[in-house]
Amino acid sequence: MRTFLKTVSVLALLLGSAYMASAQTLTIFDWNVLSFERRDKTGETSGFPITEHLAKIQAVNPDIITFNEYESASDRMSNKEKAAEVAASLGMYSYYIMSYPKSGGYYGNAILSKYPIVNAGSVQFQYTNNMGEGHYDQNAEPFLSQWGSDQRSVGYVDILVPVSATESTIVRVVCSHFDHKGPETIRTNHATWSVQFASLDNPPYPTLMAGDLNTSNTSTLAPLENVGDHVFVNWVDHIYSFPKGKWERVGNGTAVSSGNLSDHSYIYATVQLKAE
Amino acid sequence: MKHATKLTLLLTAAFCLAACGGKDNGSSGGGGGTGKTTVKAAGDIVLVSKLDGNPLISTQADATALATFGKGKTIILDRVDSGQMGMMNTATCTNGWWLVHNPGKQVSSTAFQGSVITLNAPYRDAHSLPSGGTWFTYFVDPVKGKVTTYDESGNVVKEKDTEYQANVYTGRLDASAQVDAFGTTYSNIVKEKSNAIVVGTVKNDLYDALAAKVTAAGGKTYKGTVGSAFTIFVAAPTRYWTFNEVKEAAISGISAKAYSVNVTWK
Repeated sequence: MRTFLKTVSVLALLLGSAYMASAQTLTIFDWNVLSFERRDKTGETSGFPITEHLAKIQAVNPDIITFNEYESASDRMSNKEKAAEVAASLGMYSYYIMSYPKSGGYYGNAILSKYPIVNAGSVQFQYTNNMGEGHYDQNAEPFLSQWGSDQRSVGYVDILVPVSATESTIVRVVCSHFDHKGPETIRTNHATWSVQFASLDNPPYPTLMAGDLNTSNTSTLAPLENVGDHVFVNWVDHIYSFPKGKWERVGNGTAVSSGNLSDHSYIYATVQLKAE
Repeated sequence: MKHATKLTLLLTAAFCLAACGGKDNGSSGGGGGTGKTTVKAAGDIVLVSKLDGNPLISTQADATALATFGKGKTIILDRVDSGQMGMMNTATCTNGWWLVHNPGKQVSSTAFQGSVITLNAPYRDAHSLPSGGTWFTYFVDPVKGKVTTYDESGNVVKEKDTEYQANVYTGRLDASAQVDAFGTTYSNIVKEKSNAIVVGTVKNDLYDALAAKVTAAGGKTYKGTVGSAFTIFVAAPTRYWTFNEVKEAAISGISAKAYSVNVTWK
């Protein structure tokens, strides 16, 4: 009897631990989707369909998705809110990070989550366009070298990740798309401002950040490297975790070519919160 | 000299007549009465609910009905749970809405109750404060209303449309532990935004306990519509807000009502 009870207790402990571990294991997926235009622009002429993109995502079944180059609700998209459209098909919550208004809608980034969003916030990076107010892209000198080409932004959501039937832990997810032109100092500034806005140097919750940071140079991203762990990178698309030592990657990160869907591969990694 | 004196007297008399006669529209003092006017600004914060403890939508048609009713409006949709987000997002993506999420009670390892708020543009800040197992979520509501000028008899003398960017918090209370925690939650809300107003729903039998908590925290609670299971409540500092009334209206295609909570801001 004693042996039986001992065995049951050990089993229960193992099962409970396995549940807790899997509940705090998250797969994060990042994709610069070229505003669903496709490389050959056929997306633009066929109503910006998302079906093929959804199939790629559903094959991975991520908990969190960060999207870059995400135009939404614009005239050419028939004013359709694309973050909600994708979220509807995946059964996820969404938050749209607006970089600037564009053609009746907006341009920016998006975060989708399987888990409820309890907080959401975003901010535009500092930026001045040589054409003045109301201009948000294709910057020229002397402002290009100082602010980059386009108005960029960073945003986050805090999500409730269940750890049991009645309790959740909060995880922060940050997304940004750094600028693609000008000197590397622009991207370093974007990294600095991301750290400041999302409190990455002392995050209130375990944090993951993903996005097209438009550099492969980790020294450019020193503000992120200094306070977080580099989970995975493919070309200019990155995943970071914060604070240092809080998370560990489960297995390898993955990059998959998008083919015609985008000039960026989509990347994903599974991470787990380390036990206290 | 005589002519000058007569002229002076005539001019003085004419001045007195001009000053004393006619209706005074909008300034105090002068005239036959005191001419005192008061100005009030009031508008509606809209909440849609069944007030019966059940989720708002169970079919895509329900979500579509809400979208048709709510296009272009900011509304609190009370009880859109995690299981309904697919339907809600399907209706949202073609409706010009951007959803703020108000998480509610966790009911299992995969399911959460909750509500959503419909905004008409992307937003920069929507954060939530905990309250004993549920959450109260902040958003800016562009409350549409009127600025009304009343004369001393209470008659409307002037009215114009207005829009007020209200700091609103919303949530749902259905358990004692949540209400017990709400006094602290309310205090934290007004610390964040001194002119905040809370509009939410509370289980009927918990309303009195809620009101006591808010009073102890320095606020005032108002009871709106009482449904079969839940009551609409408003909690706010009297320095900034007064509750007027709740008007309800049916929504075509769904068995829920729109409750326009009319409030005055100072």
